[in-house]
Amino acid sequence: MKIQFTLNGKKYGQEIRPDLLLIDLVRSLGCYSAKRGCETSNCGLCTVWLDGQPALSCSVLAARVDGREVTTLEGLQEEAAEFGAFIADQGAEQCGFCNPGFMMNALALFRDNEDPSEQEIQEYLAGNLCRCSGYEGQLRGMMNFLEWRKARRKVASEDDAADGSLSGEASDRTVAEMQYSDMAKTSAALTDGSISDRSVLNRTVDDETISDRAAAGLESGAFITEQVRRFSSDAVSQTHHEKETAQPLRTVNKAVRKKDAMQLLTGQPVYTGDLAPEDCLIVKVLRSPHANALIERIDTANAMKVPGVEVIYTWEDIPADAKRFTCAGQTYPEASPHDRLLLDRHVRYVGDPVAIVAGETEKAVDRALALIKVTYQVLTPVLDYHTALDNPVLVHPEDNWESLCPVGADNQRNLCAHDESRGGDIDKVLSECDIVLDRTYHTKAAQQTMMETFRAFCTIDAYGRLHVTSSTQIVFHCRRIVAAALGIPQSKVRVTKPRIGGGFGAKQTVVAEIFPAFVTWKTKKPSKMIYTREECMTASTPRHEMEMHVRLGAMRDGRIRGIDLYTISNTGAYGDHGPTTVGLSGHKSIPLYGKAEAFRFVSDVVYTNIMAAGAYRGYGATQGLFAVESAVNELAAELHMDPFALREMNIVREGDVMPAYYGEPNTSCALDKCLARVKKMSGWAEKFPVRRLPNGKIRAMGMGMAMQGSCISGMDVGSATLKVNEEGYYTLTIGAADMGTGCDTILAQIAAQVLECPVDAVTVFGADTDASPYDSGSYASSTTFVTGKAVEKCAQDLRERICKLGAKLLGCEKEQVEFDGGKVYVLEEEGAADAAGTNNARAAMSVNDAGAAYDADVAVVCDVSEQEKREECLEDGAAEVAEVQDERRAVEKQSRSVSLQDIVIASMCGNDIALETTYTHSSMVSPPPYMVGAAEIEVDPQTGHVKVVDFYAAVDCGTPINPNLARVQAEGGIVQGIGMALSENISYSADGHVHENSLMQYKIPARTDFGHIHVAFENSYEDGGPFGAKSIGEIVINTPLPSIADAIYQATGKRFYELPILPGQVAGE
Amino acid sequence: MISIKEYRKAESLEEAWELNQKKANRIIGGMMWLKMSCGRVQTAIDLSGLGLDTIEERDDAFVIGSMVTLRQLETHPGLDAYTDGAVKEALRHIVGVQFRNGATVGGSLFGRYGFSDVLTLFMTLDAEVELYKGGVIPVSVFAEMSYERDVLVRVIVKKKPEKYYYQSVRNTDTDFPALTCGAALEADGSLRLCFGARPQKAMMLADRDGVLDGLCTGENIVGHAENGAGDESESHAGVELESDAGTESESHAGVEKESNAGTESENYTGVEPGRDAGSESENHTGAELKNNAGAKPECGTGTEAGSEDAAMKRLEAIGAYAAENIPTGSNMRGSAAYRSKLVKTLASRAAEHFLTEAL
Repeated sequence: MKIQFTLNGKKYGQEIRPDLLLIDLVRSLGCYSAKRGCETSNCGLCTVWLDGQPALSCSVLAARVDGREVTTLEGLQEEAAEFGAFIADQGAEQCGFCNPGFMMNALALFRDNEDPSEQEIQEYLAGNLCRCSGYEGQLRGMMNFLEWRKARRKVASEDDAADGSLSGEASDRTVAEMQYSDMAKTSAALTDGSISDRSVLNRTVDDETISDRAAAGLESGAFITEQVRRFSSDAVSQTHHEKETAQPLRTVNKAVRKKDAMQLLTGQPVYTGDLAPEDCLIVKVLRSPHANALIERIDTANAMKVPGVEVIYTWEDIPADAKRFTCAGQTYPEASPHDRLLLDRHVRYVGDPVAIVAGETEKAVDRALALIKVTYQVLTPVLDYHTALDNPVLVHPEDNWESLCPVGADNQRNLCAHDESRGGDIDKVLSECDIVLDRTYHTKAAQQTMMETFRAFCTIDAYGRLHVTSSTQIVFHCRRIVAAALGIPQSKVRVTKPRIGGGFGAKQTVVAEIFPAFVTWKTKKPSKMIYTREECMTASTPRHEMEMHVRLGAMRDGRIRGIDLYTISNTGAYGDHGPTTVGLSGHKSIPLYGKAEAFRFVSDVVYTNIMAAGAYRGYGATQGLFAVESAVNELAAELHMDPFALREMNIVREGDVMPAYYGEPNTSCALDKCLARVKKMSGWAEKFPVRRLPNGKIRAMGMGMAMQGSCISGMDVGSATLKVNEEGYYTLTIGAADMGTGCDTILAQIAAQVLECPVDAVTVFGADTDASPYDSGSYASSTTFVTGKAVEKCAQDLRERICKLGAKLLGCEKEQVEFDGGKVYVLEEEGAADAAGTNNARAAMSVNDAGAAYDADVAVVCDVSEQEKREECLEDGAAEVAEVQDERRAVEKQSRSVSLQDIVIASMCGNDIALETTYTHSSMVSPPPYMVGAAEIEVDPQTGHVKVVDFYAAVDCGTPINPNLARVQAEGGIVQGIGMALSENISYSADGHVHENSLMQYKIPARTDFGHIHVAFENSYEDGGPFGAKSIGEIVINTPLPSIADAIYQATGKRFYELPILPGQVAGE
Repeated sequence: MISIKEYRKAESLEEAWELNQKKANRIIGGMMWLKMSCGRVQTAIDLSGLGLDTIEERDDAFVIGSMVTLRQLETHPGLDAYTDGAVKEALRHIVGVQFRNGATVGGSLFGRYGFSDVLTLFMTLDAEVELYKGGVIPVSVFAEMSYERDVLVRVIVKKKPEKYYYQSVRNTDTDFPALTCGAALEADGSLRLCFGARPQKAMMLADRDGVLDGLCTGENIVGHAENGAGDESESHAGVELESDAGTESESHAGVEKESNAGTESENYTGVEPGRDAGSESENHTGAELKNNAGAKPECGTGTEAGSEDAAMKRLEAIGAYAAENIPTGSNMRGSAAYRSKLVKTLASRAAEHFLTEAL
């Protein structure tokens, strides 16, 4: 049928299928900003405007837009840039995948409502799910935007009343000033952990400091730094670093915007699904309806007859001698057993692939899937992890199952791994304790629920190699796994990742890639596979379900003397990450109690016939910390002690050796400060344990602590390649994957700090197995700590090289020169060099500064057109450049120096000193970050409804390289923890089907599901990390679980030993 | 994903009705969740060209076209004022603004879904639906009708001198409800209660014993309260205590059979039948109003301690009566026992709301 409609102001006449959905129509017309995050109308990612009203384009028939007006983010670029800048200033765009939908809805609200209240904003955004940000940064950005808009309008109306001819200029200035003051406030707020409440936004900045707009523009960076310093009482790491090195932190520990922020916020097509060629074959798999079965017969004849179907593969297409592999993205030889085939005759869970179908259209493929006839020999499944070990039914009876590492695995026992570790005589210590709490805790699986489902597309490149473009955290491991699955040499495979729409560990496992890879390798045609949300919920890699038996021994005075932990972990049908996750349940919970004399930690990981588990933020520590921290909270209640007081007595301190943490020393630890901070900021003394409200609801408090690692000790490898280019900018190439966290930006900040240049002078490329230096990938909290250190050392090495070539040009030895970011100068002429240095540095930097100033201006987009502003800035910059260049020439005559640009130019002619270098780093220790959290909940005792009204957290991640992004990591992780504690459930039917198979049934927190998150930083300084940094990505999910569980106990008197805690359980007796 | 062979924007109700007589054809409301069904539709019938997308406020009624969106309904000032905010409260938790901009009144009502806030709302308001062939019938009757192939044209909300109050309990803010409760205070001060998402579709509480009568009429506030103190609430309390686990679980089991029959709610909510009704009933009997801090009416200060006590008892009696007479079942959002507890709580709270307002 034919329809006529307007899309972003342009008229279209289009021939369409009657059941085409609007989202597919607009994407086919190049509007890739509309994203699909579910099939059940729950996520809000596909929001567009229909006649000016926000609508779910996934739920509107294209036929219905006949005669109507459709607007996507592509049609609102100006508004998107204007408002988006405020989100970018919070770092709240994160992976960006949900942003177009969020932006469309927020912009609709702004048009609808001149001055919405916070409550109205929250309710309006309840249908826009975001998994990264925890919504708080979005809210801050919106509040700032509204404040700015109000001020702008006020100025405009005042100007209207005043002299018209000058009004434009006047309003410009005011707006610009406001913006800078906002930025300063925001930056300050973010650096100063205490200001997590919104009151900071109302703090006044001294107006005199921004009296001159041009000056403010050109020196905005310095200005903000100044403001940050003024406000930041907590910049411990900064002072530490500066004391140690006498070097100011210029780009590290600064809240700079993510490099890709504006591209993401304006909805540019940068994700896997946006980049796939139009003519890709659509790849889908037929999935087993049985939890345990053998395929007796499979008939694809009818399915092959469907027009448009290209190929169908079954287990019969896999060579009989194919070697098994693991899909876990881990360093080779993987700890995870090699227990998978691309297609196996034995299917081991409801959802296990049975056949691969590739065809020209989704419809054809769906039709073919329905026509494949399979006869199964249905086998008894093992569904209860309690009975899995030594069950006569084996999940992996096959002979070619293989465990490459000594993890205690035995497929003839359904055992994926077994481990034991101990320190001291735990039985003796427990027998001497006044009190031994003996409790069993159960955490169910949980879905990472990144907004972008698993997806990859494959092509054959000019050399006949397979090019896999995938939303993956682990390009190098992915290359190995794809090659293994296809039985081809790794040299035939290249893996790259574009922007990733969130991962949280899910994409540390190869889930989708092998299927299109196989299709493209066989057919030599491009193909793509995009997981549905249902597949994501039923055939993916959720958190390992674990049961933890804790015995906690203590004395009446509160001394914790011993912890005995037995964990049983359910890895499901395949052992991906099975042997490794379980270790963290003990090794990252027990060491928190540094005074304990003994510990024992025993673990079993068992196979069952449910969906395989995988890596999810926290990776076992989350489960173990729920158990141990809950037990310690219960101990506090038994002893009538305050939970904080009990912790203060027992926690591990800086300098302690941690026997349960592989005997590693605790090199940096502000856990004590985190405790004090959270106690204070949460108002614990006044609020703990409960207050009854007049309306019958109960407010209650609960707390918990956490630790994590900063890498896998002695294993994770991070690498960086840096080169300096003509005009003096740098290219940083990495193999780590920015999955929305902002590691591209953070690593550039580290490089810029060492190279003494603006962050904008460092471009980042990655990750690509052909081009990137080897990196184990973005997981295990290792990117900042390991890859960050590699970048730091790499940048130092590049400095050396710049100096070497500079010295050569200056005709002296390398030892005689120094590099100041702008030029290499001769050290001996100190007096002259000082003067020259200052001036030349200014000259070298001023062009960059002008650019930076322009960018800063863009951040604030105001009434002035961008072009005008750019010119203005560049004029100012150019004038200064000219002036300073004159000066430089004059000084250079006296002093001896050579600018970076000149060095680079010289490097391109008759040169044998490479201005490019690669550095690889690995750490033998994994210094833990620490965190303390406290939940304030409101319970309706009769309905059992629990809402986290406020969550308070203090994090010790060493130096936060980017306080904005660290804060948003914390907020996002905490909200995921809230979801795991209160609503995210995974349950199975008696025959092994997952009930929670969509976002309609698996409930991640929406904006309205909690109140506010307050994050503070208590920085220790970790010598092993870049500029004192440790990790932050994983630890942040852990503390809500025990905190909320204990708060519920305080409110209701009921202890919960299983997550999630649903309202029906809270209300029940 | 649904597949559609033809799309037809009906030019008249007659045409829509005519097309709809074919089993392979289907009327699309807002589309929304319809897209999730796996069926193959011959002709999708679109009513959006028939001017059914307006809310008309008359002196005696609101006339709401079936293609009016939930968002239109939610933001209509007249309806908001007339229902004391009940419309807004009933709709604001449904997924999100964008969803409610698409979902229609007709689509939401026609399915008569178990989880439906919309059905609970209109049943509470004692609204009527106008079917193209079937004429005007009360929503409560429509809810029980079989899925005939008629066309839902309008919903009519007759204005009455009543007060309204809407509550729902949800596991998360935008989830399907675990229970919905619409309440009306009638002109004579009597209470009318409607419960949905039990998880079966909404139903009115049949007040055979006059328990809801005269809740808020002048002297009746005290009178009834005293009355209650004398016999009513005592007897109800007695019933509550006497009801043994056996009977309870029987009634729950019966309900579950009903829920199995209701295929539409299974489709959409993943209703999970067959939880252990016995053990849940045990929970339930043990789940008396232990935490009743929330049930205290705020009429304490000016009144005598005795009447406050009596009012409390009256509220409890209403809750207990509702819990006894509203069948509930289990699904993944809550057990039958939990829902019965919610029925009790929300019934008491509704009564308390009007009582507090009256004072």
